[in-house]
Amino acid sequence: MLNIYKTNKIELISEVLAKEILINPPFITDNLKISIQNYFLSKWIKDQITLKNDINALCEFQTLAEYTEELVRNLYKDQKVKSWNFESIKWSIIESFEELGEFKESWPLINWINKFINNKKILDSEIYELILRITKVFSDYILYRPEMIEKWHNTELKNSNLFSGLNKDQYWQPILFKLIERKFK
Amino acid sequence: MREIINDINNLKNSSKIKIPKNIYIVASNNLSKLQISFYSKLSELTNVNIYLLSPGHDLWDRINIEDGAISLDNYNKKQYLLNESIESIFCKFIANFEKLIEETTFNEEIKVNIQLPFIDPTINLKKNHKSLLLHQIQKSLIYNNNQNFNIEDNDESIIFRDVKIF
Repeated sequence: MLNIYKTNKIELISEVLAKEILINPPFITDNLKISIQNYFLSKWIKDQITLKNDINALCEFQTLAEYTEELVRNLYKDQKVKSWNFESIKWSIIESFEELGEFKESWPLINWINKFINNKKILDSEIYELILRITKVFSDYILYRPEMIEKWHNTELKNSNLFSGLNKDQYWQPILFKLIERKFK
Repeated sequence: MREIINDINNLKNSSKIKIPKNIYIVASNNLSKLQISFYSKLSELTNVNIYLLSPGHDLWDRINIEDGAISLDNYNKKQYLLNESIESIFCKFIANFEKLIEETTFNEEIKVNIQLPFIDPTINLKKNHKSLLLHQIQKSLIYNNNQNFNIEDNDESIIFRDVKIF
């Protein structure tokens, strides 16, 4: 059952949540996890639950991305699910950065790629900042543009359909995605 | 996530799956369409409780539906833009997000229990005819002055009213 509580009072949310936990407590050995995006809000809600229920043991707060990732891992426990989380995408981009330079479509990034190669693949703050930004874009694509990511996933690297719907200066993005995907395999 | 959405029927029949008996999510407007679909589908396996902090009731309808007959004659784009309310400017994003949830649960044919306990934050002081902090801030913004604010103990017109205003 999907229960949605929509309100303009955060106090009401904390109260309903505290009551819900009291009525349906987790099993004694279970670690109750609640997804809240904001760290400070999670601290406040944790305090409110403690005040209302007099106790708040074994209650952990996670961001929605962390919470969802753990849930997916538990659902597919038998299979090895390689997670496309921020850290793993970031390091895959760093590993693929030099190879990306071999494609002529990577011209918008070529200055940074050359700098990276000339620096003997040592990351300086400028390149690291760029890679962080690319990682953020790719993480957002996975969450907010899953249809596009699925299309890239199903299209071969040499297939020109990979670039459909993109501007010329964006062609490096699906190429980088395919290189990262290869690393995950 | 997409695999789970497509594979939900097999997961339902599987005895091995490990899933919490209650899922709790507190959100404002930060869920993507994929996440909404995922948790909607997951609600077929377990209880999913989503707590949404929303600034107002029926936002989407209020912002997107105009009262009275619609006329396309003498359509003046500038006048139309001027008619936009403050609510439609600041709440458009969250209104669209709430519509997205509604449409997703409708399309996925999910059994959903929606509770909408909205409380008028100005109600406490209306009876006493005292000035609300919200109204004082609005006036201060309009007249662009630095007057001090009087905050009553039972003023709930702004959630985080204890924040210092410099």
